[in-house]
Amino acid sequence: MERENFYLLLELPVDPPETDLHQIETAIKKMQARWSLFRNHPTKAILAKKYIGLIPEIRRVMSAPELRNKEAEAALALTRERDAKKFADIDRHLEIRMSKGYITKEEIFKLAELHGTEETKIRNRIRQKQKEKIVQLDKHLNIRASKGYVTEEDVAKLAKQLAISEEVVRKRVKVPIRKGGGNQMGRPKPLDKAIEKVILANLKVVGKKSLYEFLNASNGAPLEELQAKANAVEAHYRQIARKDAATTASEVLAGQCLQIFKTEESRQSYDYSRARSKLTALNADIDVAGLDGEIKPEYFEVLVKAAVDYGMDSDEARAYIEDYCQQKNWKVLAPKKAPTNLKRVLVASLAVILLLAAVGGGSAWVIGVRRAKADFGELIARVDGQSDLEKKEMLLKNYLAAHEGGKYTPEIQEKLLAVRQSLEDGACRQAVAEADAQAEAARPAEALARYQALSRQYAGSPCAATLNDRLHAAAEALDDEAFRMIEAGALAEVDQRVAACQAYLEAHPQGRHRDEVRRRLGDMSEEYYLALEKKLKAYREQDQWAAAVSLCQRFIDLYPESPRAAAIEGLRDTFQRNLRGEQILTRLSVKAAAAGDDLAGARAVYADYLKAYPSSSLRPVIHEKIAVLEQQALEDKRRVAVSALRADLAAAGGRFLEKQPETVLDTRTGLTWCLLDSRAETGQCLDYEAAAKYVAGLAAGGFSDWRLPSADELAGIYKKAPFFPASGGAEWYWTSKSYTRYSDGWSRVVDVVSSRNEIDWRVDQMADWQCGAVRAVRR
Amino acid sequence: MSDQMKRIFGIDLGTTYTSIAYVDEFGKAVVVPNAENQRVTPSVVFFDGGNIVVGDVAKESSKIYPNEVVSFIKRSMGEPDFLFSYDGKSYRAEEISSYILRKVAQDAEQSLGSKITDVVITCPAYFGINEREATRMAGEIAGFNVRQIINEPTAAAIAYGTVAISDKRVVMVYDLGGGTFDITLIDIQPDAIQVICTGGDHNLGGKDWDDRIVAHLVQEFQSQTSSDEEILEDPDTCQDLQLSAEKSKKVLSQREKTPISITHGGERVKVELLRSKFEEITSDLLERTIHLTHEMLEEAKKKGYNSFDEIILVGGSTRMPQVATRIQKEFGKEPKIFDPDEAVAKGAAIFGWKLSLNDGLVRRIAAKTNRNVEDLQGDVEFSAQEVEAAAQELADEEGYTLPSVKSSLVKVKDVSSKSFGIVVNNSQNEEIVYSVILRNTGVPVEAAKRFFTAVDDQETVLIRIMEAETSEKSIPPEYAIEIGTAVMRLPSGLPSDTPVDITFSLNKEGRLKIKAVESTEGRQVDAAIETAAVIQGEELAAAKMRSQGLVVY
Repeated sequence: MERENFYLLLELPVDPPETDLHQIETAIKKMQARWSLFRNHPTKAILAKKYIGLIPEIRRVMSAPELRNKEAEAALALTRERDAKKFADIDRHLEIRMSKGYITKEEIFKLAELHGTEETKIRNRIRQKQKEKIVQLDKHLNIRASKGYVTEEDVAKLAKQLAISEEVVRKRVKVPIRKGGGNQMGRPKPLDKAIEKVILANLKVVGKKSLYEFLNASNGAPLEELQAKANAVEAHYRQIARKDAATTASEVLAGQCLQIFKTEESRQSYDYSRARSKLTALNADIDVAGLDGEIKPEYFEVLVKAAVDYGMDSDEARAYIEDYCQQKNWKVLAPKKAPTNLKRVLVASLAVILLLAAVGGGSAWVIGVRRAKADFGELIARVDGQSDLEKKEMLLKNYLAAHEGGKYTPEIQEKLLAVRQSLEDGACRQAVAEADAQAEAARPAEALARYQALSRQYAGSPCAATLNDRLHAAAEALDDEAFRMIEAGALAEVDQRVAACQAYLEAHPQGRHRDEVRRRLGDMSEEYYLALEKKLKAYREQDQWAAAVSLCQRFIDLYPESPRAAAIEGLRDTFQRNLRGEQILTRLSVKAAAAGDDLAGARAVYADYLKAYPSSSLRPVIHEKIAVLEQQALEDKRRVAVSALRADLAAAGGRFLEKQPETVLDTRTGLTWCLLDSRAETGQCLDYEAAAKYVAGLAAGGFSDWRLPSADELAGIYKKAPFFPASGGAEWYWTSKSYTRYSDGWSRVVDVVSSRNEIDWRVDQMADWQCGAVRAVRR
Repeated sequence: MSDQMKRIFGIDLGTTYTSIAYVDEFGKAVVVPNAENQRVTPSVVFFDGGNIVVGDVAKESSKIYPNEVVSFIKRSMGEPDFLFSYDGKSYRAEEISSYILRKVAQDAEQSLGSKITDVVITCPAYFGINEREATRMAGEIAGFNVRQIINEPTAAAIAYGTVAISDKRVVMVYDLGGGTFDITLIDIQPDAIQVICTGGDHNLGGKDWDDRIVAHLVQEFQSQTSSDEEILEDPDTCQDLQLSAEKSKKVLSQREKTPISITHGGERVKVELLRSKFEEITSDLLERTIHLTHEMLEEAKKKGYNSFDEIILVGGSTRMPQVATRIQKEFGKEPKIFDPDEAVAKGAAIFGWKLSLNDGLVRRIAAKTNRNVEDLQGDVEFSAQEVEAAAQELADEEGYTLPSVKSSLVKVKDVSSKSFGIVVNNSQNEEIVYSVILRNTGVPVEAAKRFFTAVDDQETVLIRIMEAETSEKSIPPEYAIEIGTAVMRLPSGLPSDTPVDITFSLNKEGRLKIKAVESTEGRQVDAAIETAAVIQGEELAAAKMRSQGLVVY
């Protein structure tokens, strides 16, 4: 973390730097008082604490002349750097001009003129920008794909916004593309603004950009990792005794991490807020753009784009900026022609400068001219007398080096060029002869590679034409060879044949047999489709979605025009969805498995997912999983209840005997009771009607004559020790006795027996719609 | 009350409120209201010309004179570079705190008609050496004889133990005050109160909840007026919002929502704050207290305490309903809110009373056994008969009942909330802090450790005394803070690896002394901890002088 510059922090003059120790101490005292005053400020407290903590260090640095000088220099550099940032005009203008999606030569010329720079520099910048565009596209796609898919609308918007074709966008999409429905997920709820600010303020103190960076995790890290890191970080900072500002801020941040990374939902809120808050970083830009009370259209577009860079879609950004301007009462202006006067002035002044330069350099030349002539004559004589080309070259080169910028330079250069060409030609011919030998030795691929290398090496030489011929011949030979291979494999499996054709087309984009191979490939489409269907069937049966997707993709790439393509595309999307669903399910089940015996915890994993993605297509599957887990939990509970009851019954001194599994004979009354009551059995409570149905359908112990007990029967197991143990948490039980009563309307009332514990029981009345439990009995 | 028995007052010097209590002639702890007839006095100091105003008036004045009013001074205790400037003079946190102490004591004197000389002051268990020392200094500057600094949760447990419990219990004290959070596990027995483990954060309290409301209000103001003005830059608005925040927090403890109006720069904005919103924007703070609680319970497990019987909530901030709800959810026990505003002061008063009864007992036993009072000070054990007889006599004389005198004999045993050690070089020659006393060790404690000199003919040993928050034996120095240094000169000609024994002793108040002995010649250095973090020397003398000349209203 970079520390503050003390000159700037103390608000001392920098240029020239304040060096009077008395003045400096006064400034320190002043700031100390100010920071102490802010020590408990609701939002600035931690920063104030940080500065207060810096005071001893400030005194140390500012009282040592050497350190202080360094500090002053750094302050000056910082101030300058800040100023420099204000002048990034070229880029901004370029951006404005390119915002329509292209840039004309005319515009490049004008920009170069306006900024007094070369056109090539501007062109380089543009190339750079186009590369950035693809990078940006990927970034946007990543953001949009975070919901698991992108919509057609997203594609169209991105294409428009970055001024590239939808085709290009589609190619870079790595998730399924859905038709519309972008809003069906709904936006996550953003974090409370105040919380957001708390987080930002504390991040600033520790010098981090986001909670992710604070935890040293990637933005896409899985929730479990974040939770683990948050816990570790929280524990770490708690242990630091030095409660300086950074530690205090870190503790606050760790607390926020614990809260935010608790669920996917809250994490999404944070991510969304982060995207939003970056947009507010624009406010300063908008303020600058609106300095004169209006926003020029160019600026508007640049602002929109900057906002989009932060991950918002452009409509939202537009709305945001327009709102902002409206709040400030600024007009957004219609386009207008920019004045060109400035340009003219610049051209004129450039001409004047050139003229002045030419006049100034004139008089020094004349003396050198005669000597140069003599040297030149001598050189020509020596060169002509020399037969070895390399030596000729040497002579000329030496002369040039000695007479840089001389009168005869162009002539010599010409001569040098001629000599070099002859040199090169000779070398080339020799190399070609060697390659020819290779070609004759029936190694066409090697020969071709050699010819290619040579033709690159001797691109401008007179031997290039020969090379070109050879190159052609070699390529053709290779081409024929490859085609022969395809013909030879005519009986192979269809996908091998397709692969061979594809390989040919890729290796010989200009091959002579191209059309023929294409035709063959085209003819195979139906055959290939049939093979593909077969394979897909197998994949489908084995749930091999990744393989299925790539198979479909291959077909689409091969036969984009085929009438089958659309259907296959549909299939691919389905498989892709399945693939993704499978991945999600795997991830969830790993998480759920990590919960071990904690079935509620495992259930929460699935429930959490559904809460975060309520309209997920996996909903039914997940519901199934949840149901299974709930069933398991119920069975666990039931097992526990059964064994607890058995233990209790065993302790009841032989009055109750488990004759058939899970049925209990009361030896005192001869009645047989169902070991589990309905609550322990089903985990739910039952109204009277449902209770009757439950009893009727009960088949415990293989008996089918279970019924509701009478109040006396039921009380009988509680009246005298040893008691029937209470279990299952049911507070009261329905009896068979019901009667209709008129109190506030006709209603049915049922006798019930409540047994909070074994010894505390009584008979009450309950309305039949109330929810209770059944302890079934039979004789 | 006889002349022989000195009344010792208990003062709860809180971040936001301060109160004072004593034990009346019926052996019952009572809080003394201030001159404005409030049982708690806001810990706010207003520098009004030559006058110092403390309490409600000061708090109200903060709206009008934000730069002349100091609040939350407790948070800056032990911070060496905090300085409040007023009228060309600088004031340290201890001095400002002393005004608060003077105010409550002065009002109590007025109400009771007697002079207050001896006090017991409480501080968060989680305070380190510097903060504790600063608290003691505040008392001394105010002109009191500070008998002891005791931990707030311990005080609360004393109050709880003497009022609500007759049997043995393990109690978790969750103390969320205005500025600090302490979590303590205490074993309460009929004859002893023993702290098992303690933890917390002295930078986490009700004020943080207030600050979140303030941040929210600023946000609301900005969005309703469509401006992005930093309205907290205006000191008046800032103070106003802080007061509104505290008020609305209190309302939200009773109701589901509260209206708040924000006035700034001629604009007025109305905000309705829902309790649910309040809970949303502060949930991370509550979560941190839970984390600290779990950590403390983990520590307690190491000492063999795997469960506790009840949870008591003290500190005004536990009135927020979400605190009790969250605790119940986390620990499955219904927490008891026990006298949240006064328990600490009352506990301190009971502790003071115990000290003074103990003085009386010692004096009586000395008289009976013909020994010097000085000889009996400290931890001399008396025989049961001696105590019984002296207690009876004391009870008769002072008009207390015998059982109440006996109950004052309850032993209070606390633990250290920090680890203490020195900087040494390990075998890889890296600097580490080696802890001689680990945190959560019962106090008083004396621990020694043998270290060795590093090189032949070493002339001096620099002993850097460090305070840390971990239970690890050795930790990197950047995790600890230096609380003092001592230099030991060695005789010349010693070989390397000459042993030096360093002894740390921590008394029951948490004051630390060290002793280093070089074994060859038996040279010794004693060092009490003195650091720049606490007012001392001339500055202390000057502050005391200044305090005597001042009138506090």
